[in-house]
Amino acid sequence: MNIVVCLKQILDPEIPAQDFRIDQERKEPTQGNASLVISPFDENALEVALQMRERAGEGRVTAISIGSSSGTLALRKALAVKADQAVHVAAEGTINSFTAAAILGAALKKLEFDVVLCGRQAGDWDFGVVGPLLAESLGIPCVPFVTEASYAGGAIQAKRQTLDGYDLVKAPLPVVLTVTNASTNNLRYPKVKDVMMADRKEILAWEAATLLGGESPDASIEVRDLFIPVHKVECELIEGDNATEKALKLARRMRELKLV
Amino acid sequence: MSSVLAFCLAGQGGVGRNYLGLLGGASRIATALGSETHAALLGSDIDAQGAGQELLAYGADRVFCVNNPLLQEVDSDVYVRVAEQVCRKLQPRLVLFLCDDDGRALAPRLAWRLGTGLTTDCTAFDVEDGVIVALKPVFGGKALARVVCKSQPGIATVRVRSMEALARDEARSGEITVLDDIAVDASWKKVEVLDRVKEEVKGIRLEDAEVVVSGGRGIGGAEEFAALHDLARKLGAGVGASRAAVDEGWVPAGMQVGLTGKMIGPSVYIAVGISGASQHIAGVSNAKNIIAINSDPDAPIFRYARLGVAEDYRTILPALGKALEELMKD
Repeated sequence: MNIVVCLKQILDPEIPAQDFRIDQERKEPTQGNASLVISPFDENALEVALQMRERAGEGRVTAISIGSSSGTLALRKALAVKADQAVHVAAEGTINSFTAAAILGAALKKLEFDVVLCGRQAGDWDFGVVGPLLAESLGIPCVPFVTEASYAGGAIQAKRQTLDGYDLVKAPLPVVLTVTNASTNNLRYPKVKDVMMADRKEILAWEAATLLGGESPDASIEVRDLFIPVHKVECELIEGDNATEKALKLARRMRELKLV
Repeated sequence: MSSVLAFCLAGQGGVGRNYLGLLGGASRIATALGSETHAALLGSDIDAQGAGQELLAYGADRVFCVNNPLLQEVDSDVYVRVAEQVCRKLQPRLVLFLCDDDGRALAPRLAWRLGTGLTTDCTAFDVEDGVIVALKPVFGGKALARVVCKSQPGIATVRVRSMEALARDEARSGEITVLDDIAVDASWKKVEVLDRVKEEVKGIRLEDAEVVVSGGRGIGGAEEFAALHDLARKLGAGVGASRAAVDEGWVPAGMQVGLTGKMIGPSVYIAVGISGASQHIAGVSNAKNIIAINSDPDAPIFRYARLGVAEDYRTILPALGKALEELMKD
């Protein structure tokens, strides 16, 4: 079974709002002190891929990432948790979801795959469209919001999260799964020796322009402005000598403000 | 006349409350564009007249209905082909979906098929010189983007609860059309549902609760959520959680509030041991009052709260519950 997991390398989405700045020229955030990380739901997708391989007792996990030629951190991390292969597709400039799906679609046609995994949405632009777009570009089905999956009898069984629980679904191969977070798919920690090994492994270097063969997919959308919203809420901090007093004061204020 | 088309994915059920908000949003954009508001109602066993009248009363000028037993479940492999045919037939200027699980799965695929662009999870729209500009929170809510679709139809998914429904007006009339020339084929369905599991959630449904008590990483464990349930019982409140608490396995995912969890708008949201990441705040941007209880006085949650206590919840919650119980007797 060949599993391909798509990883996007992004600025750490957990940086506090007060440190978040925008470069108006590029309409992108500035990096500042933020580190680069694998987009959180893509980490969940990577974990699901590794678990699928373990459960099947066979299979190959390929991690693929698009970005500037220096952006291989996500792939090194994937190799450190024992992805079998890593592919980096070099592309310069801003790559939006439509372009990303077209590039990934072209790359997948060069790779063997049974299952493609993507995070449900990237932790930067939050569009959440690459997985479904990719399914369309490959002409295969898409199961969204998966938390766990396994390979059984030539098909995929997956847990798909719903509003009040989950569906157990069966999908034919090949298929695109988009992954959402659950307690069962937090990405494992790599072993120190595997981190060192990963640094020495080869990463296949492909070019987006070559893959697309001169076609430039028109994204059809344009970001006109990017700005930081102002929100003004004045927090009334309840003071007191001890916790009981604070609790009592809070209760009174809640009552005065008719909140309860 | 050009139209703004709102898709209502009914499946086997009726038209949910959230779709009325979507229709309200569609109607306001249509007014600004000088277009008509159209609703496409897709599902199985739909009472086209009854449901259609309801959509007209809430702002649709015309309702188009596709009624087919194969549309019982909102399966995106099937629905995308139906939505594509509906769009090719009606040629709308703008297509709107709700940004719930169904809309998220469907809208991008429709965009690909129609060769057009889309913007997801929009919270507002402006019409500027005849151009539709979508406002979309990005970077987990830390920034807002104004996005334009350069091709037609533009497609957008609309954040749940971000748009107000119009007041119901039974005097409104319009045409209800059953589209019986839309093909639906059983072979389109590729994904089979083997089992449907509901996870029991204690107490009041989060989406309906006027008061919500919610816990995050600071709660420290699954059993510690009992303190939140205790307070919730006293207040008649629902219990929610941040993504961190779900990832730790302390609570089921159905309790997750936030950008990728539930979007709620209670009148009071009591955030306990929640740091206040923007991704979490996105889920309660419609909450009228946030009360923060967090032992870290520098936690970002206090920037969004009306009332705050910088103290360990373990000592605050029992005392708060008792005090509120006393006060509410009066």
